[in-house]
Amino acid sequence: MQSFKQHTRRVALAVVALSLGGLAPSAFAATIDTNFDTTVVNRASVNYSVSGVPQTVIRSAPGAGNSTPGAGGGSDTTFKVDKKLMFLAEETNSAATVTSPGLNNVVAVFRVTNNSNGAQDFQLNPSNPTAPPAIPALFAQNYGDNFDMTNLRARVSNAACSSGAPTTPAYAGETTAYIEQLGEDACKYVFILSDTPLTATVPAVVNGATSVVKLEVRPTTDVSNGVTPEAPTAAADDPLAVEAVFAESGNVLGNQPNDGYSFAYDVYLVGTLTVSKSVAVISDGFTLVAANAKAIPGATMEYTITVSNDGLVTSGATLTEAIPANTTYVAGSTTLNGASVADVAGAMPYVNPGAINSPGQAAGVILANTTLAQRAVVKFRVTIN
Amino acid sequence: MKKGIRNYIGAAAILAGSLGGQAFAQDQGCIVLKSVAEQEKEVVNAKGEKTKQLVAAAKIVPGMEVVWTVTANNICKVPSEKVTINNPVPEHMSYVADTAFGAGSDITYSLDGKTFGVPTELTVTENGAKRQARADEYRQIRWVFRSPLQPGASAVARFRAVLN
Repeated sequence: MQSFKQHTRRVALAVVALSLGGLAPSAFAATIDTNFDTTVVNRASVNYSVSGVPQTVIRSAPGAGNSTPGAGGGSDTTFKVDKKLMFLAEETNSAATVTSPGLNNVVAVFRVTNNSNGAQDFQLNPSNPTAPPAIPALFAQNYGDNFDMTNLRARVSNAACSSGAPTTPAYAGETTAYIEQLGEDACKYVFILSDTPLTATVPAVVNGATSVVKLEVRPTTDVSNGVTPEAPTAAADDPLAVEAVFAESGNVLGNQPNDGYSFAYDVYLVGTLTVSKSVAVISDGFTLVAANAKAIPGATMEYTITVSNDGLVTSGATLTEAIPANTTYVAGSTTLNGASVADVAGAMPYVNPGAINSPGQAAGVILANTTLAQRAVVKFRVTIN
Repeated sequence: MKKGIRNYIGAAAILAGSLGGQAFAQDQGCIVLKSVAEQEKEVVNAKGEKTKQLVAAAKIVPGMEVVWTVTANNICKVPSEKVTINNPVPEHMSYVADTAFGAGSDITYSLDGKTFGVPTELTVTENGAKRQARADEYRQIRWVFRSPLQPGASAVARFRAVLN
């Protein structure tokens, strides 16, 4: 029975006007949409008189109609509400994600919002775009695409998500690679994890180089574990079945509206180990005041190499250093952060790449945003020939 | 709704004597009442012109309009008088202003299914102040046909509603 309760109607008149006659009105702010799979029913009634005598009400039916009188007669004319797929992928912080050569599981953060008329599954496809668009719209800088990150994986964050300004939650070991039943007007944060090639493997991976990655989001059917994309059927439609209509917005960075895809980009920036090197004379064998010693043949010189990190915490940081021409390495003179580093095969240990680290850190780890005390400092001595 | 529609006792029932209401409910009335849900679709005709035509309600998602058409066809050999079609605005839908029509009928609306009036007569109280009701607040539509429906003739009542 139809209820005559006064409902609060949230569909603005402007929306009504916009949708006149349209098959798929484009995105407008979602409010309380009628959920898909809702059956909308209607039964009209007619009262009339014959020869001045009022007759029993007749209620309507679909198809051939109904002529059997009675308030309970007739049957409902119905249709099923179909699925209006509106969704959005966004990059969260409009800033590049800093990485370093050889650094694995570097996290870029996105947000996926579902404005469909009901809960929805989504497939998450991370990729290295072959020809990414220029990205000045979202980032302060128009980054290029100098190299490709590897081993891209999408992971769904367990962090709470709400509309409004996105946050950038930390990756906490989540393993789910698709979005399961995201509620209407709800959102999820999504990570792309990827690995940074070594400069030795991909020479373009140098300080300041950038890699653009793309997160593509597609709505998928429930219970398909993010595998089977929703597919609108051809024009012929079953009014009693729930079918999908793509209604997502587009037009940002190449997104097309109503095509069943939404995507966003993030940029990995190879950060930024800074190496400085200085040299001082320790002794020339003649000058008594060490500070006044001169760089004459036979003098002992000490080189100091300082590595700081303006990017992310690194792993696998190594140093390669040649002994300068016309000098001879002083055996056993190398230190890292003040601790002696043994010679390798009688040679200075960094002649071939050797691990360096911030004081107290594991080999290869240079702490992010290093303070003076956190820099990796290598010293070694030579004598002038 | 039962309160809103008076359950008249038909002449046929009086002739049938003491039969209960159930019995005459199975008799055939003089009107076949049909309700159809359709949507307007833009099609390109043979001349390449865009035209709009009604097709069976197919993919309906929030924000789309449905055209509801109620047809009353007189199947008796005598005219039907005072033909009055009532149609609730379906749940989950909002009536689209100025879209109800029915040739030769007077159309009124109701917010509660009991009191009917033209739009200027319908008011709601919001925050202590009265204002004219919006079309999306109407819950029922009534068409009262001014002329008798002749044998074999049809009366058509139509309105549009948008899916919320």
